[in-house]
Amino acid sequence: MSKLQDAIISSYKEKYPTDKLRHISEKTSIQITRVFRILNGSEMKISEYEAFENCLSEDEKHTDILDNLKCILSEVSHDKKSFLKLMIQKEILKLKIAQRTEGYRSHFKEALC
Amino acid sequence: MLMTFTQRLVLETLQKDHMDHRELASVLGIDLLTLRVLMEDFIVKGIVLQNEDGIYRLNKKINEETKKGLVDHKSLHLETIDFLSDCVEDRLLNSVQNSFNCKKISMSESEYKMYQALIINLKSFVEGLEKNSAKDRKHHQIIYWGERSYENATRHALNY
Repeated sequence: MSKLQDAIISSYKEKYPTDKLRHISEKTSIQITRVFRILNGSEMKISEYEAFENCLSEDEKHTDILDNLKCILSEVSHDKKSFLKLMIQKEILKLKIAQRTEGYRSHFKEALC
Repeated sequence: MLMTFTQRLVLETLQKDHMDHRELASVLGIDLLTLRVLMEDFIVKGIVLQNEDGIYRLNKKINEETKKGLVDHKSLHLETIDFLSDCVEDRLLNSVQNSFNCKKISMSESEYKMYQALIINLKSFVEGLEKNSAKDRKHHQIIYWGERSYENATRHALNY
């Protein structure tokens, strides 16, 4: 097994420790028997690397949700649109409050040290 | 004016009472630093004033635009969604049984009347509590109730 393949599989197992062959197959769209062979050392194809990579970076990818949001914002009524925007703004407001609080906390910790 | 649920609670608490930072944090059950961030915003916007003894109070002389912003329906709607979402999450994920209860039921006319009578009793009990607001500020609770017909619920659920 190549080092890259080994690293990808290790990362996958770290991220999804309870996944069985079936789950991996569902997430990567690689046939279950092929998943079994890959995990047992069969060399991965480029497309299979990509499938594993996509699974690993799933949480970090925001493009899908942004595309959906753009689509929704162009379709819905003006009222719904402004409401959705406000919902997002409110989440940003909450995040900023949390960040500022955390900023103060670190500042005080440093001052006390 | 877009606000969080906690910010709203701060203003509502100061509407009833004047208090200092420590007491306000204790009443609301939030840490001193989070409250500091919230109060800074209110003070900068002139919504809350602080005297030389550190006592906070609502500014009664805020301009009309700011006053209107404080009761903005959209913000109230979002704050309530946030609060209710937390209650539902507590029930579903943390099994806090009394945080949120909801039943989908059918009632006969007489049962519905009985239900309404119980709600009226509940409302008058709560209104009585509001009038004799307890001075022990540490045991404040938020209660809520409501109902909706299947027809209204389904009509609005996919209303885009």
